[in-house]
Amino acid sequence: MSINRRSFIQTAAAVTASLSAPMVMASGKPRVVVVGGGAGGATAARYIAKDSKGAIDVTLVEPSRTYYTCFFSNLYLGGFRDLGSIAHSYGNLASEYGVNVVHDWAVDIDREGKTVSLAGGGTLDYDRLVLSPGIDFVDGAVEGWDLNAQNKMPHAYKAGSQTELLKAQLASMPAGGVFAMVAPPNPYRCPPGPYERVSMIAHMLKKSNPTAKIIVADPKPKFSKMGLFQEGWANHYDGMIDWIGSEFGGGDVSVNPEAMTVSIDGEQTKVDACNVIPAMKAGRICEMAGITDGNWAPVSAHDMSSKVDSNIHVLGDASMQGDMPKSGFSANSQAKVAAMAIRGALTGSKVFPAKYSNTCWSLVDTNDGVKVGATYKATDEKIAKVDGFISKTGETADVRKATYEESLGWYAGITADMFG
Amino acid sequence: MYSRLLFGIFIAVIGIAVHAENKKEEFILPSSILEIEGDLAYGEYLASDCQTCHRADNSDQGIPGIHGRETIELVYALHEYKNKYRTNEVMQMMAGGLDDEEIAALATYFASLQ
Ligand SMILES: Cc1cc2nc3c(=O)[nH]c(=O)nc-3n(C[C@H](O)[C@H](O)[C@H](O)COP(=O)(O)OP(=O)(O)OC[C@H]3O[C@@H](n4cnc5c(N)ncnc54)[C@H](O)[C@@H]3O)c2cc1C
Repeated sequence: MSINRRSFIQTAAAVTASLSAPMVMASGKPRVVVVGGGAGGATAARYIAKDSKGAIDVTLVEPSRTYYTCFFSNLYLGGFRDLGSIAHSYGNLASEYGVNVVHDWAVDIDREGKTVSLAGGGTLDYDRLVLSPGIDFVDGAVEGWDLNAQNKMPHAYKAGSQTELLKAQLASMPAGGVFAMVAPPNPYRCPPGPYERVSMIAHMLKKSNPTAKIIVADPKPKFSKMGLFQEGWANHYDGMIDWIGSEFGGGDVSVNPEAMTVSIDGEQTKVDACNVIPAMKAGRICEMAGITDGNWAPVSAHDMSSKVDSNIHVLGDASMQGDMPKSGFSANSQAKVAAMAIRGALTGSKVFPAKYSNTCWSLVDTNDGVKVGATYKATDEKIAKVDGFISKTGETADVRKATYEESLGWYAGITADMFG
Repeated sequence: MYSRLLFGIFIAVIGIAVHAENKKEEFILPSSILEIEGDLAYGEYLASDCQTCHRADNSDQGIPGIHGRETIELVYALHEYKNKYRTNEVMQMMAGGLDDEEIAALATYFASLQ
């Protein structure tokens, strides 16, 4: 964040002015800038533009022209989807909803001046700023791995070329070869994500390379939907998957991307493909804005506004909000609450109490879908869980198939809800 | 309403075991619930959560389209989920978190579309 002497001195005056003169906009319409065109940001941009019916100028800053959803990227690895089916563009947001889409990186935020600087040199003014930049990785989280090694040992935890690379490496494993995954510590994006990925990779290897082995080194003693995944692994991929939890040294890991070795609890293994999913933190721009506390950006549960600066709303994975998992569904749900609050603040539209929900579907094998979900409410302390459910072990094939089909409907629904 | 009642009686009379799928046929809401006027603006906000899954183009792959359905049908469906007369866990949970006014608001909003 750029606090130069001048803007620092002006802060006190600016704060007083903004308190006594709400909604005084230099150029007429209030302006919202949204940084990040993913599950949180695209939804927020669309809802603010759609529901304010032109009363608010919405600018979306997103470097990529194509957004590959992480959701269903595991199904791409498993051969259930092609890459094109998880690719989305921003065309509709611009043409149908009038969102000003800027393909650039936000590189700095001046909270006093209320501006966002872009890598391309421009500056955007805002009345309200939405940050939904997703995640970055914690430096040094996995010994031997850094971003320079991501071509040898991809993380594939931001979808697109990384996911393609991992798929190609899996496909060229020798017969009976070894694939290793280094799973992340909590909290991280998509709690069931690594385990759905293991399932999908097992599905793919069972067909093309049935004597291959999968090793998972996990720094956690247990994981999301564990009983369901382990049931599925035993049913569909018996003997193929070796999950090593923290009790068995799964957290004591180092990798050597040059030699393609993984050391778990002191034991070194030569691997043919390796997926390293390091510990995560809020997308870097949150840190630059000076709104993080540790690795994440704390927010109010009532409107997703930053606890440091109420003109900034932080959505999705980057936020520290309480009980919701970091998922696309959560980010989308949070975006709607923030959009309503922002419209209320800038145009005086009606604001209702925040309600949130989430459901995460995972595919274990063909037509074997499982799900976990919860509803949440806002308390002064955090987003607090109200009610929830989880699929049961031993469900019939019909139930599992219906769950999978429901996930297809959800995917079509959420992507339409994000991109129009 | 009346036909639902008759159907319920019919089932009881001929003694067919009422299992999960048939239960909804005997599920009757009192008029105090059916007569609640839904708040359209509140319904619009609440509906944003539904639209993550229920698509505006009403396609029904895996998840049914609900835009433009009759208010009474939607009110019944949501109360049936809330009371677990219908089986889907996601919907039981979502409806379980709604009070009578919220269900009326949602039904009014979805019925108003198209
Ligand atoms: C393998 C996998 C499977 C998953 N499966 C599911 C699932 O089934 N269901 C589910 O709900 N969730 C799932 N998720 C989680 C989901 O993808 C994320 O939780 C969700 O994308 C978070 O949304 P977000 O808006 O916080 O971040 P993102 O969707 O990642 O969007 C962030 C965007 O911000 C942009 N950005 C970052 N920094 C800047 C900057 N400085 N300037 C401009 N733009 C910037 C990025 O380019 C990116 O497009 C999965 C994740 C993974 C990895």
